[in-house]
Amino acid sequence: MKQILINGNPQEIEEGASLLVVLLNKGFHAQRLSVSGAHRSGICGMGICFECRVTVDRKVVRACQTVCHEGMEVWTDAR
Amino acid sequence: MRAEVAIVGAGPAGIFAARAAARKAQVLVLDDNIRPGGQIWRRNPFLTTLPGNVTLKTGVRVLGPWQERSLLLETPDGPTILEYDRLILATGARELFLPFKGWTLPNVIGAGALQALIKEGWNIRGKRIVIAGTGPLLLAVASLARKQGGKVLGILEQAPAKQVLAFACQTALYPSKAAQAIKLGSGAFAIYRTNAFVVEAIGKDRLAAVAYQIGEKKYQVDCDIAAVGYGLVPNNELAATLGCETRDGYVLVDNEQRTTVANLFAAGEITGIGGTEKSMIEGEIAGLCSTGQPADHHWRRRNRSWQFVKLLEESFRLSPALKKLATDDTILCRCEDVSFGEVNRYQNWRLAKLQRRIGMGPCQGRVCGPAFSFLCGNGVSGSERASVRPPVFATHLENLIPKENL
Repeated sequence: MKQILINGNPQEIEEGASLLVVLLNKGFHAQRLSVSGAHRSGICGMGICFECRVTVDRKVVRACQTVCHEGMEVWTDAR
Repeated sequence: MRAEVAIVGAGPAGIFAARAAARKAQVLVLDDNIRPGGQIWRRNPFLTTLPGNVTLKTGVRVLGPWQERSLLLETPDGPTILEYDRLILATGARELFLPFKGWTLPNVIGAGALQALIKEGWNIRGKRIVIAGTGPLLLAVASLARKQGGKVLGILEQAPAKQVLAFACQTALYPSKAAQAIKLGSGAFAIYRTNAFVVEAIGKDRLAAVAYQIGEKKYQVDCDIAAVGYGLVPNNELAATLGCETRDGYVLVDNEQRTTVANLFAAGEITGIGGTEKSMIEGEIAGLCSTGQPADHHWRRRNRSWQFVKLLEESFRLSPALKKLATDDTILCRCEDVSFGEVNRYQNWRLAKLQRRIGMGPCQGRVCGPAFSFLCGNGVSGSERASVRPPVFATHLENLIPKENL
C-alpha cells in the first residue's frame, strides 16, 4: 500500500489506481465546485466531461485520467 | 517522435488497426486514458496485447495538427511533436447526456461511466442503483453492476417496447450478439422497463432519490447512484480539425476506411455507432489499407456490421418526450453553469455560444453540444457543432510549446 495526501490528510491507496476511483471509494462524492458553487462529480469516467478535475501537485488535472503515485498531493473542490 | 503508422485511440478499432498495420510497418498507438482497451476492453490485458513492433503510449492527448503530417501531443513528460506517414483515427465515442432536473448532482453519472468506473475499481457493493437511458449498453452495465454487488433497482429504457422487441429479434440473427443478449436479458427481465425515463434527480449535495416515469405514470425511488446514458456520439473533434468531411457528425470513409483527407484513415465508432465487432473489422481494414495490404476479403463482414448500425439507430431513436425533461432553470452547460432557459431561444449553437458562453468551458461543448442539438437545434444530437479549433482538448498553456527532442 502506498500513501497520498487528499486535502492534507494521508490516505492509503493501491499503486496504479485511478484517482477518481480512489476519491469515490473514500467518500469524496464531489470533486469540484461549479462556477456558481455547486458540488460536482465526474459523469463520463473517460476524460471527456472535465467534471472530476482536482488539483494534483499544484496542477489541475482530470482525476479519471490520473494514475495515483506515492506522495501525490491532491486537493478537491477547486473551481 | 516519428511513426510510419500512428493510431489515435487504443480501443477495439485502434488495437485491431495496430495489429494489422504492424505486419508491414512500425506502429505507434496513442491513448489519453491511463490504460489501453478503450471503454469496452478497459482493464483487459488479454484483449489488448500488441505485437512487439507496436509502441503504445497512454496518458497522451492529441492537441491538434501541427504541420503537414504531424501532430502536437500532450504527454506525461510534456508537449512534443509526432510526425507520421499515415494516421488512423480510432477516437471512439462518448455518451450522450440529456439534461434533466438535478442531473448535476454528484452520483448522477453516465451509464457507460458507471461501467468504466466499476472496471477501474469503484466499489459499489450494496449501493442502490438506477440505470436509465437507451440502448443495449444499459443491460451490460446492469449485469456488471450486479456482479460487483450493486443492487440494481431498475433499468429504464426510453424506447417503446415494440422497438426494443424488434431489436431483440433482429439481434438474434447475429450469433455472437444473440448469446450475449440472452445472458444479459435473462437476468434483467424483472426490472427492465420500456417507455421509461428518469425525470428528476433528487438530493442536496449528492443524489438521494430519482423520480421516473413509465408511460404516463410517475414514481420515485431512493437510490445511491443513477447511471443515465442516452446512447453514444462520436469523438470527431480531432477529425474535424484535420479537415475530414463528416455527415451527421460521423467521419466519412470509403471502402478502405480512407477519410476525405490524404493519408488519413478512420475506424470504429467515429464512422458510425455499431459496437465492438464493427470497430474491430474497421480497425483491421484501416490497418491493412494504410500499409498497402489487401483488405477486400473483409468488406463483407464490415458491411454486415453496418446493418447493425442502422438497427441500433432505428431501435433506440430518442423519443421527443425527452426534450421536455430540461426546464428553464436546468443547467445545460455544466462547465459554465448555463441554464436551458438562457439558450433555448437560440436555434444556432454559435449564436448561443457567443451570447451565453455555452460550450466555452473546459469540456469545450463535448457534453452540452450534442444535448443542445437535440433540444434546440435540428434534433440530431452531435450533428451541428460548427467549428472545432485546436487545441482539441483544453490544456495548460505550456503544452502549446513543444520540447524539441522528446
